[in-house]
Amino acid sequence: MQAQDPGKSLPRILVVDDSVVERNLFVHMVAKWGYPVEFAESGQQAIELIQQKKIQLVLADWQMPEMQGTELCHTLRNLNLGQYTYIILMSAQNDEEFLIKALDAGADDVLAKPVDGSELEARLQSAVRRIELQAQLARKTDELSRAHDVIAQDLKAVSSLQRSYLPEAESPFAGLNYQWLSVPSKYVSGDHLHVFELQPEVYGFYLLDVSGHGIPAAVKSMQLVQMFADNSSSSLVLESTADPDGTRLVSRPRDVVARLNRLFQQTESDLSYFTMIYGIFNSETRQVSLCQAGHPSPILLTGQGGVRVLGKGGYPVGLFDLDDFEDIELTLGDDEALVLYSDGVTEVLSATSEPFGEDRLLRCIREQALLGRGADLPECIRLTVEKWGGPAVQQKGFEDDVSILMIAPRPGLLDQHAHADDERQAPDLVFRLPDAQESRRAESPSAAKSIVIVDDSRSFLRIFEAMLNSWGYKVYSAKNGHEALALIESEQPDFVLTDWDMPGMNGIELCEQVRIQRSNAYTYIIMITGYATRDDLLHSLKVGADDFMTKPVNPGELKVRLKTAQRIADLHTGLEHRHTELSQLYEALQRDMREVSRIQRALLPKSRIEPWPCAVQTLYQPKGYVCGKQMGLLQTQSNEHGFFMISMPGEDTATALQTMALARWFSMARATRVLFPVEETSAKVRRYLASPEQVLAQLSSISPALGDTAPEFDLLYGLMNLDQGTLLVAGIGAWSMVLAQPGLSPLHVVLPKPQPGEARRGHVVYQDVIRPGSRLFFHSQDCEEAFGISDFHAWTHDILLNEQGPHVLGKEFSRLLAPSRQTRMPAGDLALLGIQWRESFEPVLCTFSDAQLATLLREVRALGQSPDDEFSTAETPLDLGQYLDSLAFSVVADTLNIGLMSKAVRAFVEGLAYAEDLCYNADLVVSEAMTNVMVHGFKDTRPEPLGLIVTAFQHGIAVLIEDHGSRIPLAVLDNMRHVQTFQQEFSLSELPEGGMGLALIRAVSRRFTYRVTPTSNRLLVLL
Amino acid sequence: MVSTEDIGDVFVLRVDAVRLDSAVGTIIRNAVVSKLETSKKIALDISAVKLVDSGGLGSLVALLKNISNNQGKLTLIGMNKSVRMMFELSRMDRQFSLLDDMPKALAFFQQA
Repeated sequence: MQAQDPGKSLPRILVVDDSVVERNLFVHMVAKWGYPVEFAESGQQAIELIQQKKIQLVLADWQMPEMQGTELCHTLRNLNLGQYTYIILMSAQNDEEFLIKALDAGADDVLAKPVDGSELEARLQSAVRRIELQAQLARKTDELSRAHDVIAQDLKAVSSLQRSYLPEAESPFAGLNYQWLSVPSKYVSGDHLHVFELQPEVYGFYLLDVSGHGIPAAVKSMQLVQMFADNSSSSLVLESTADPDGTRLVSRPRDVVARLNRLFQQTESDLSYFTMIYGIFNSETRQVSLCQAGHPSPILLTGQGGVRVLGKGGYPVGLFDLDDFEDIELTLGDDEALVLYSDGVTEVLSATSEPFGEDRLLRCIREQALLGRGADLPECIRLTVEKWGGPAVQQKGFEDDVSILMIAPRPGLLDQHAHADDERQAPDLVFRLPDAQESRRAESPSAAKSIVIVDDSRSFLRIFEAMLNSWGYKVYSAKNGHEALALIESEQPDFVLTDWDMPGMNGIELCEQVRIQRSNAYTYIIMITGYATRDDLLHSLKVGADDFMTKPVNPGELKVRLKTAQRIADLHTGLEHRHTELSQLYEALQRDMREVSRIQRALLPKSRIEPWPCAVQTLYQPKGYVCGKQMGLLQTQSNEHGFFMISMPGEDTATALQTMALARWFSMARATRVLFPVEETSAKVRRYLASPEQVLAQLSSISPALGDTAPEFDLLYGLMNLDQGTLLVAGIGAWSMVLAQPGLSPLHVVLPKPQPGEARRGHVVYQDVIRPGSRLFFHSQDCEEAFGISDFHAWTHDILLNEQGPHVLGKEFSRLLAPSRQTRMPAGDLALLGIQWRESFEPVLCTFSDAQLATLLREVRALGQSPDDEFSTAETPLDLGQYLDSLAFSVVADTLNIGLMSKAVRAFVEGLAYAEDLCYNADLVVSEAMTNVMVHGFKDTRPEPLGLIVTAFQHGIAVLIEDHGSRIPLAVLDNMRHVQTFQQEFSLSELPEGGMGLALIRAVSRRFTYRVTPTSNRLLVLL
Repeated sequence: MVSTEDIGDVFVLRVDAVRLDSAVGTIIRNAVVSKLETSKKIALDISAVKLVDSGGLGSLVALLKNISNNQGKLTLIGMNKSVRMMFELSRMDRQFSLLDDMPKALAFFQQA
């Protein structure tokens, strides 16, 4: 139908004319230039077509029956079309009055009838250019606005997440009541407060304020929240020692603050610090003990409006490497309450920049208390402070985070006036973007518009200068293109009126230069032509002129063309302005997103290079800033680690936040109990892996759902004993595990991909003992392609190493990440967890010289002759008889080697034809003694080999084990002295860790000695 | 290390290790715990085991308690002679039902 410029589609033109002849003429003309064209006979029909076909360019006749062209303009402008419609009006009446009427009615351009073909073509081009420019900008702004909305929505979720860690609105504690309030200055807060139960009748509470605002401060406050939530062995608020009935002792507040001070010392990369009050409250004695660290002093409210400021300050946390913190002790009466607040309260400035201050706060508290509004106090304070801040605070919110926490015994002050204000609700989350308001520059529409006029004719310049000045424009004149360019650059005019034909730089070149220059506002260029050809006109529009007029310039026409120019330029500048504003906001939000990403990464397990007891490496590469994958390591006991991986579909931040919330939940003690329950029947803490179905059921009830539906996600979790190497792994969803054990072929376990619609089932991934030096790799199957490991051969050939040593995992990770393997762009989020458990050591068979043997035999025989050993006195000396043979190894005590030694010793003694029970006992002694060294000797350090020597005699066997690790604790040996024999009720639970093995050795041995020297521990046992 | 099988209503575990230590004990316990809701009759075949060390013994006692608490029964099958001496020494033989082979174990469960 029409020839189109390839790659660029021309807009559809609607020709509106009541005259059939003219209509056909225009239709024919525009179709010839390649425009798709529609036509209408009347204004009514035109409007219907425009609405129906979303037409953006209208060429309409002025004089029509029923609806005139101006009326059509009016109607269109008042319709909400959701797009801009460019209207060119044509009229035979070609005077100033018509122009003004047309442009006032909302026409974008006018054309005189009879229409000159070249001019029409040029004006249509100009129209197309403007429509495109606007569409482009609108599109960009739209995209930006959507991106902005997405991030803003996500940050709201961060805020909800943070708020979900605040205390319940109503105190759930029998002995303690509280009221609180927390208003972030931005979408998230650097303040946090909490009240929690430490032990029955003992409660902890804190209010902290991290320096700075927004996400960076929130990151730290969330870390702190997490630390307070930890009640494992690394707990901040409990002592590691327990009283005799096994209850952990509650730490004194000043010790807790001192611990935090050591943990959070400023570093070069993190200069932030925080102030806080941490306290404990005993609801039985009503005693309060609290430590003030750089925080505003707590206020004691004593019934009937008495107020007292407590405390004298104290250092902030993280600034000075001192342990100089003090506790304040007090006892709360029935009608007393303690008020803690952040300095955001007292530092609120009035309209005249006067801070609210402590005195006003005290007065406010006193007044409210006298009114009997104790239970409502935090809210009353907020209202008072908000009033103090005036319109600035009421509109833009607080400059700093504002938090208040009030605690009182129960029953007490806070229970008395519960009716005070039933309408009180937790303050709504306020999502403010202060940057947005600041970036909106005050732009008065009445300000004089500026114009640069360019002409090589002085007289022309003078005439136009005077004329434009009289119309209220600010005029700058330039004699040539170069002068004009300099002026345009320095003055940033709204319009440029330039001659076409000038010496040096002509109008077209000037146009090109102006368009190359980048400026914030749009510069509207009108070209004045003398005798331009059609090609010249088209060319000038192509290089960037917005409009053109022919000489001699009709002042009336210029006036209205400038008005149109103003409207179009305003529209454009407005859009551009919105765009700039949005991009600033977007950048600010992106900065915040990078911080969220940092929070997420902070939740990952820390890399550990040394494999004693285990090395950890992670690979974590979200496609965006954050993702729905997360993993973590949990220390369930000193010799046991749990680990988990989560994979939630979706790449948006809300998903990431749910994942983060889950990951944080996993790291809490109660979650650990869900994944790795403790057997109630055993005195020792014995954990097992909960079945995936149980875990799934639990998770669906506790999953932090930020929306209405609980998230569905894949979960992998496992438990590893760091002494024994038992590995239990289970999972729900599409997971893969690679296990490389020294001396065995690598194992690849792939869980079946759940089918859509199928009930989600869990699977046991692995349940066995692994060898020292084993490496484990876990990842979700959707990462395989990006890692280039879809094929298991990639693991066996390119990644896994057949070597031993402490740092195999690190080397394998380098191979996994080798540039040569990185052929594909990551298609999604990547997460991989790698663990190396210990290191493999081979036993070394030893020989010794005759002299060494003689010394050893002497020592052994002497022990046999001596009646006393470590624990008892024998009745008769022990004659071992003739020496037969010996077996000696230098060996690191680990599970694999214990098995090997057990086997070797058993074979050795059985070869010498001892009685079956003696053979068994020799095996048992070696196993137990080596297990003891394995479990206690080296802990987190690289184990050294121990010496094992078994000497066989005619009437007995001697086992000597000499190690260089930690000695058997005295308490264990002492305890054994009191356990008389196995014949009494044999209680496993009464023996401390390792004691059971020693008890067995003692039970089967005839002599038992344990000698500790600075360099070694020697266990010598005769059987 | 440990293989499992359901024979009728009896949950049978076979230990495929020479030494029954704490590590093997953990694997056994973990395999049993998840079945305790449904299986009350547990038979542990330890005929391959030549040595039970203190960790293994502790695990077995914990396992026994756990099973009893869940109204279940545990038998140890095919215990090696020298392991049995150890059990007698520590009077463990009074706590556990020690049976020679699988048919005896199945008969034992049927009587109970």
